Amino acid sequence: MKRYVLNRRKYLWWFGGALFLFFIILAVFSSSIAPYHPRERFEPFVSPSQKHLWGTNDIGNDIFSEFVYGSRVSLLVGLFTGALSTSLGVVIGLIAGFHSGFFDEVLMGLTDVVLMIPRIPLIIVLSAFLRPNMWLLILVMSILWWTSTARVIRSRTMQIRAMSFVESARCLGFSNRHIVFSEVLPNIFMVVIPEFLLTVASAMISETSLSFLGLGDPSLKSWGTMIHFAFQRGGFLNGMWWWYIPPGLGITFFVMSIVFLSFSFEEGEFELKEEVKDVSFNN
Amino acid sequence: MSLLTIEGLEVTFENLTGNVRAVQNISLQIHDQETMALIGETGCGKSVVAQAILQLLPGNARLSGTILFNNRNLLQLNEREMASLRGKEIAIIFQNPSLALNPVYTIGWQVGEPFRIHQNFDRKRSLQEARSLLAQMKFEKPHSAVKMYPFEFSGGMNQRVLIASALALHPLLLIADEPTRGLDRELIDEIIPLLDLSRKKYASSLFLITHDLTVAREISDRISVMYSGEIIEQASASVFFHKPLHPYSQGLLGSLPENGFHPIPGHSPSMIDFIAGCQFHPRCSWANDRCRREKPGEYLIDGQRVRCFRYDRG
Repeated sequence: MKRYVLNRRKYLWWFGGALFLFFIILAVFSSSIAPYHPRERFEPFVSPSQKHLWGTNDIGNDIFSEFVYGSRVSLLVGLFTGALSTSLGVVIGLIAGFHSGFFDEVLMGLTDVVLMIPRIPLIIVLSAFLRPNMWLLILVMSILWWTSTARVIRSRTMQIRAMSFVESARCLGFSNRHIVFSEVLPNIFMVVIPEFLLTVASAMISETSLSFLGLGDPSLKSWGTMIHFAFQRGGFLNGMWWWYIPPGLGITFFVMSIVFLSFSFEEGEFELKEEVKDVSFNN
Repeated sequence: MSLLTIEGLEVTFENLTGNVRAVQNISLQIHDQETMALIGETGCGKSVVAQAILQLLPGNARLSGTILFNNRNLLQLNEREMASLRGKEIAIIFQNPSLALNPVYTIGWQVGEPFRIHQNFDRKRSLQEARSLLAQMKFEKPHSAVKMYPFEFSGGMNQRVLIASALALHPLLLIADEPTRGLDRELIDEIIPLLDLSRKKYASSLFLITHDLTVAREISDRISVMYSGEIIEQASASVFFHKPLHPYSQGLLGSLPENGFHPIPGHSPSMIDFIAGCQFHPRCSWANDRCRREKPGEYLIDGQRVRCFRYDRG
């Protein structure tokens, strides 16, 4: 037990990393891994066999190929939303934390307002009025998902700003922009990575839920869309488990790998803190 | 000619518990190519003077008076103009060297940073400059030193790194705010001559802030003694250590080990409480009624300036 606790970070890192790598390979090399094109039609409702590893659906698409190609959509939505919203959150958090006072009040007020917007209902309403589109979804999620990052980054920035190396950077005549991005940001990078990964995971889950509700991009085949059709066209009622189990497990494991990775990064931050502590004892 | 002239500087911090008059009407001059030491007990406002010169005080500080640097009043410059002065013309070395370096960058990167930012050197050339600066700071292997991180160095080594980066752009005035705090005697003996040497080499003036009299004696040309926010005595170093005038200065010298370790009675006063008359009178053995009522003016005795009624001959 003790060994498990001590090595937890290593286990999390290897397990999460291996799973994550597996899905990345699946998404990048979809065309060479999948045996058929996801829209190619065969005999419908076939249970798993040699020819169709995970069977086929109601219109005869190969489930395994659908699954492999579906990983692309999840990954794309997750990574783009994560990147956009994390950068937005980091910039807002840095500005709010570094220039306390007016900027801080305004930006944190804005954060509170955005935090109160109900996310999924807003997206449902938006997709009812606009045509469901993946890029629109990414944009809307990015605008709504940055709040927690901004808050975490703000508090860390305030902490780092009070340290004397920031003051000595000011004394060397460096500009505020340089201090924020080159002195403060590298010191909070270990917080940014887990925030980014958790945003990716939450964006992927949201994309899947929306697709399951039938509000996803109809031109793309994502895991959520697969479950949606399995639900609508009798997959669940007729017990065709091969139709809905793979996409369900896919999203579960993909999100799990990301969460494990972010846990291991968070524990890594603990170790970094210990090191910093050692430095101050040295003098 | 004087490089820095402070006249009638007052710094007050506005607090919920009351206003703290950290610096009260001080005037001093630092000439070209000289080392001025500001000595005094912890909490007497020494560091506030340094931070006032560089405009680094927090938002609740109220400043008045003038700080002329090369005939420009620093108190009237805006933040942008101040930033262009910091590092290039006035540089500062802080206490706590290990905390004043960014833990995520190598030493070479940090020492080279002023060159990259202010002089647009590329990465390679800034590293070269960093190596040569570190070599001057008596690092034996500057090539490996530039690749180290601050936590791999001792406090004394980090202090030398800070001196190196403060001197990078040949500032006209170098402020050293308690450069020896937290260092042991051996390291102090290493750092102080280095400071003196670099001051002479780069032809800048040094404003040394310290509570350590022996450090001040080693390298300074002139001494200012600060007590409870006021400068109570100014003299050239050679005269001061022979013949201090103010009772507080005499007490300070008397507390040195070689003079018999006689402590000054009492505690240094809180700056929130108002003390009428001479700030030092509650601890002074010469104090009379006049000291308790009136604030002493500055008296000039053979080039020494002192604030004490004992020297009032008029």
